[in-house]
Amino acid sequence: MKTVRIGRWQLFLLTANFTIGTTVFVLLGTLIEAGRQDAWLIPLWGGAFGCALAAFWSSLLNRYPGHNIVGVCRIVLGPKIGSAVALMYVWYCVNVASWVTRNLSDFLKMTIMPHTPMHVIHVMFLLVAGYAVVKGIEPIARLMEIFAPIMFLSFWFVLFVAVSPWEWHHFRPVFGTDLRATFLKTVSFLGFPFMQAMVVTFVWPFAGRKAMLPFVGGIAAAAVSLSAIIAFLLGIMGIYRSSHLTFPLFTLAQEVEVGSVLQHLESIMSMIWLLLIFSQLSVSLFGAFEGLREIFRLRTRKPIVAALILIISALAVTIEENIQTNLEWNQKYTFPYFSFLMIVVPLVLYAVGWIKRRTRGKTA
Amino acid sequence: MTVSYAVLLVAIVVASGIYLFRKRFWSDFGVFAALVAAGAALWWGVWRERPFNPLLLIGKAIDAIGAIVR
Repeated sequence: MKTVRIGRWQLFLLTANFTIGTTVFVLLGTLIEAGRQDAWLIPLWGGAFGCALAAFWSSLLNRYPGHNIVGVCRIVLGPKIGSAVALMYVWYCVNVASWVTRNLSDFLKMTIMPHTPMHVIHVMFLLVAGYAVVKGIEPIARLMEIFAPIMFLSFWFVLFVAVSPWEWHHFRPVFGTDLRATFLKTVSFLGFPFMQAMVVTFVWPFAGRKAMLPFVGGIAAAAVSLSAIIAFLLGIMGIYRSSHLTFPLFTLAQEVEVGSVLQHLESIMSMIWLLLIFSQLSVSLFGAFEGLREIFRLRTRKPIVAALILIISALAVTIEENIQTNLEWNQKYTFPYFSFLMIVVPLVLYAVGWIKRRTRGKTA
Repeated sequence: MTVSYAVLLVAIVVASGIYLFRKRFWSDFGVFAALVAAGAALWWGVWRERPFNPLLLIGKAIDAIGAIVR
């Protein structure tokens, strides 16, 4: 059987795209509302936290080469308790996939396809992502490798074309907000998207031994990109407009016009977002499948992915009433919910693994 | 359009179930059946306009733990 491998550059792109994913459309307005003229700082401290956490996960996974977090749970806690804990990570991947799918249908219904039923958008997109997952992680990583430079160039091209109404006074007074209060208001941002990046560690066993640097680097690149995007939105649109629009980046692209030559650049933004969502959705679906495969020693891929699509397509409908309730839930519960899975459980795994090694070393 | 996509999804799921049953991959079939049952229950809730939102349960659990800690 062919050994599946993805390169370090591919892992970097997967991590960066996964972290930027839906954040770039869903969360920017909320962040600008909370951070005002200093909102561009929020992704930077969020990214620093995300990088530290990613280094911690990497060091845990490097102790068990060839295993993802599900495998580590089963090795450290034993097959029964370990599988029960590992199922929480499978659920988490399904949860992220449902969120992403719902964000996509919310966006498409509000902008481009208002009359298309959301179920159709969910199933249509999930089938494409499911097909990619059935083919394995390699094609997904290759797709990112091909499209990421195109996405990067076209995205920043649109932003630079839109830069003419830039006003520096939108940033004044610099550091004029209460930074501590802003940090407390945006603590959920540490969870979504930075803690969420743990889903990418399901790719870990395919990325070879030196996966830590591209993984941490991907999170750092995403943080810097998000900070730059917020700075652009602030400079061009100002605090009030950018924080009151549901999709400020999309509106910004809609307003760009260079004579009668360059128009409707929002279509480029939509395509970029579809690709980002594809990367996020396929990685989370891949994570859910890999988790189940490891726990139940599954032999087939297609049927299980089909069943997962059935669940995710339904959950995407029920998981929120609308974008507002989603943002409110996110604000209130994301940090404690994610902290349990991304900090508490890995810490327990680390500690139990360390104690086991020590006791084994003493008895040997 | 919704109906055609529903038929497509059901057809894929049924074909997958038949494939697993005929191949006698019982472990895979068990997991598949459990997932399909969960998916069908969720869709039933959507159909009856009584959607089940697991995030509300998670929120309540976090509130309860927060109250205990406080």
